Amino acid sequence: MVTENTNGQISDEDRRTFLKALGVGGAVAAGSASLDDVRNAVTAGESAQLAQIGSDVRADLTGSLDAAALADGQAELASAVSSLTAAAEQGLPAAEQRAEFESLATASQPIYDHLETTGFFQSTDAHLPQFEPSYLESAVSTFVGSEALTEPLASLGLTDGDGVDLLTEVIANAEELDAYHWVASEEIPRSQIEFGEKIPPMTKAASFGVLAWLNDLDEHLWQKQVLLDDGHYGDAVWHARSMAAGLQLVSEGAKAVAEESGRFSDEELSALLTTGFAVQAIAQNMLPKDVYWVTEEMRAPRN
Amino acid sequence: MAKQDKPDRESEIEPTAERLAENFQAEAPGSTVTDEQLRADDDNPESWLQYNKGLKQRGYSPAARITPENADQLTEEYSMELGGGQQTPIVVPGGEGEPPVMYVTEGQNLTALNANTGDVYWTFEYELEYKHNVGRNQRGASVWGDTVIYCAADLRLMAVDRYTGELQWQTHAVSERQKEKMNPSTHRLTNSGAPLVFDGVVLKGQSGEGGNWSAFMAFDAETGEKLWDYNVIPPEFWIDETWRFGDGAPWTTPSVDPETGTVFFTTGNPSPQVNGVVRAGPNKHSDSVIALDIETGEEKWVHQLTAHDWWDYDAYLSSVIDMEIDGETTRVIGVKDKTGWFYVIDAETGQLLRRSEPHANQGAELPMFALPPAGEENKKEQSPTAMGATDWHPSGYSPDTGLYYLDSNDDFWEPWYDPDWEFRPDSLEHSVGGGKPFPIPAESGERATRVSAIDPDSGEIVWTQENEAAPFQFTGGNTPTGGNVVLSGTGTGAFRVLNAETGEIAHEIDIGSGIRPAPITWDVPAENKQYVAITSSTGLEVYSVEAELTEETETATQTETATETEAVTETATDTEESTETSGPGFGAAAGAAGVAGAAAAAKKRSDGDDEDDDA
Repeated sequence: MVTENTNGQISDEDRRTFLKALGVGGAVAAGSASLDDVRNAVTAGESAQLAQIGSDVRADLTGSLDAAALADGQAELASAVSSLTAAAEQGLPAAEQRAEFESLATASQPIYDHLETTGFFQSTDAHLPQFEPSYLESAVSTFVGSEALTEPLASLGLTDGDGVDLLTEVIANAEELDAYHWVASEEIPRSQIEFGEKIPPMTKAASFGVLAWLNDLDEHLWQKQVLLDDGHYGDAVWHARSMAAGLQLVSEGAKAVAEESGRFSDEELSALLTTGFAVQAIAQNMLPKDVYWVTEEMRAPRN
Repeated sequence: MAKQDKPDRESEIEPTAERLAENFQAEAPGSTVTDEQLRADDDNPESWLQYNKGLKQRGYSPAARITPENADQLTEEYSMELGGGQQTPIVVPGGEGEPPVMYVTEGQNLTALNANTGDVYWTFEYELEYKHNVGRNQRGASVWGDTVIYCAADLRLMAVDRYTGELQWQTHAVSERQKEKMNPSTHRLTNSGAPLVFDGVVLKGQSGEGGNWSAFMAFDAETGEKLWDYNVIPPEFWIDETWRFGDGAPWTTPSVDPETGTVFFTTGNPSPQVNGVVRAGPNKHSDSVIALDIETGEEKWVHQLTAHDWWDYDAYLSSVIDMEIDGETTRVIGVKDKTGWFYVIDAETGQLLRRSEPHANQGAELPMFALPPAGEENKKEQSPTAMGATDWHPSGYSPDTGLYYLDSNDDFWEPWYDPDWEFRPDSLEHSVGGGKPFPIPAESGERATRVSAIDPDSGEIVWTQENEAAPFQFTGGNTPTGGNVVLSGTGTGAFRVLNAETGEIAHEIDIGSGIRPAPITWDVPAENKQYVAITSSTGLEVYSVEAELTEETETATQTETATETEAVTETATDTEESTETSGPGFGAAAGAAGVAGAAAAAKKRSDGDDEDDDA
């Protein structure tokens, strides 16, 4: 079964770090932790920072997003993830290049396009801060504490255990995310940069990167199959599903803003958006490490 | 900077008579070089018509007089001062009674000389239109018809009359998109690689490193008119406008499969080099091997070797090779890049068929492919470096031994990326995005350089020959020949003749200055001599061995040619012609032979004799 995170991406040690960061290290067993277990144990403190971000984003975007379009996009994305899961049973491509990851990218495109045309990325980029570990821990803690927030993960077929692994990956890589993959927009000295206006919002870069990697994966797996084995393929599927899950979470936040239903508090909204973007950013930077940058130790045996 | 406003083809060119007047000694002899002769160059022991020899760019000569047994008879013919240290000459065989003519670049200039004696016929001097960011030496030229074609650092592609040294046409080698959108100018682009000519089409890339995006182009060899262009960085795979600083320069000489009409070329790093934060995704088509249809410029396939590169791991050279894969003769592209592996890619599909063992050190304090630390204060040792586990120095594949010979470097650096990266228009640093300190005295391992002989099929390193590893000295290029030797240079100035099967040093000559390009060689049957030309950092050294071809070496050469002919039936005629020792069609006298002039006068050292890794 290659559709689950069975390749040691997430170790029990990582899970322990995750649980400890959320303050539930003694209450939940790392090896079998589920989202329910964590939710029942976690006590998320109130965060004025998260609440303010959610309020600002909501103020920017209310009236500009289309809930129905986003719901259609989410359904398409969920269907594509399901198809990927089925296609993945074949393992690595052999004689012919396949297109299961490209299909996932195609299904993700309408959500991305809608978020792009409505100014969603500009708004989230303007209000979300540098993704420092403490901020991420706060956001993830709030996220996991709400069953409604984690619900979109189930719509993609992710189990409760997968959900824990997804969030563990964010916390386990928080330092790297902070150092390498997330520079707050206000930190970029655009006025000093000749092409400063051409550097995209980081939130947009996270979602565009998801599409770019998904569009490339089928060709990479087919071209490099002499170096790869089912372990690499399993990693590719895991990271692809993670990237899709991150996009699904972000679109859920956008949909909630569009609905104006108040089903998420401002604090919950920013926790959802932060977690969604962080998952996308981390997954797309784990993907090359596990599937593209194939060292001698990682490669499949020579014939 | 002023916006680029030069016409695409600069036909109204300055008369060159004045430029040549001081440098003209005599007309170079010879006759028209045909497309058929260019096709036959791969298998012709008497010629070296293109950069790493032949359309296939295998870096192999069937010339067979020099063997491990007689290498100690190498005798100096002549030497001349020559600046730059990175150029590879070409040699056009003479017709009956004519000497072969050598063409060699120096800085931005081109010199024609008697290849056997060193007597200079003429020097064509070119003055750059702009010098900002383009201090690059030109690494070579090609020949077609009655012209020698090469490119200057300001991307002026030029055809020079190969007899008189007069400029025939000049073209600004940039793509239409570059002309339209490259603001403020194309001045961040430059050139160092030699062009390749196939069936009247000049195939040419660009050098980057200036934080732009690069293109590969085809030109009519007769007129200089651009036939098509291919922008390496596809905007649809880059977010927003970031493709504008995508780089991906195709800065080395391409190779051609004449049977399918396909050109193969490699590309360099994305920009900024050690900072991937601002360029999400795989960053196509940086660090890639690209196959295009020569007639249309359409993309056949792209194979990216290092996606989302944070280490400046350019791809370097491609060679078209026929080798047995799983019991079938398969046409493949052999490729080396900075990572320390040798790759074998299916020429038709772009699929990776083999990847060798590492031929150089990978990993140090930081593992290979670990992201450079954020901030200079956190830098750590890593390997390979941005100079590469192997360098751009030409390498060679011998169909006789079935081995690929390349330069290997165990090197260490301390990269770091700058979280506050700025894209500055006034500095090359803008395309780095951090720091690339190199070389460093590493605690992680010993610096070493060597020649490695790789079996492309098994991926095994069959033998290595160590070189002295002085700071900033690398192993030079390597040329296998039909005499079962590898002609090899070292960064510390030793020219070596290695046994191609064992790597043993058959003979060594101290040139006295570092050698980076691969030696070239050509056979002169009328003299019973095989010549070798070595470019060092200070000059050109030419040696020869006079020897009868033995039955064994003649047979080896004929067998090789026959094998090639069987595999490639369409070129049977060309290949058969190439075995004629009198030379295919170079016989018509066209100008006095054996002219003139003392060897080249001392020349000014060319600009920008860089120690940089690429471009």
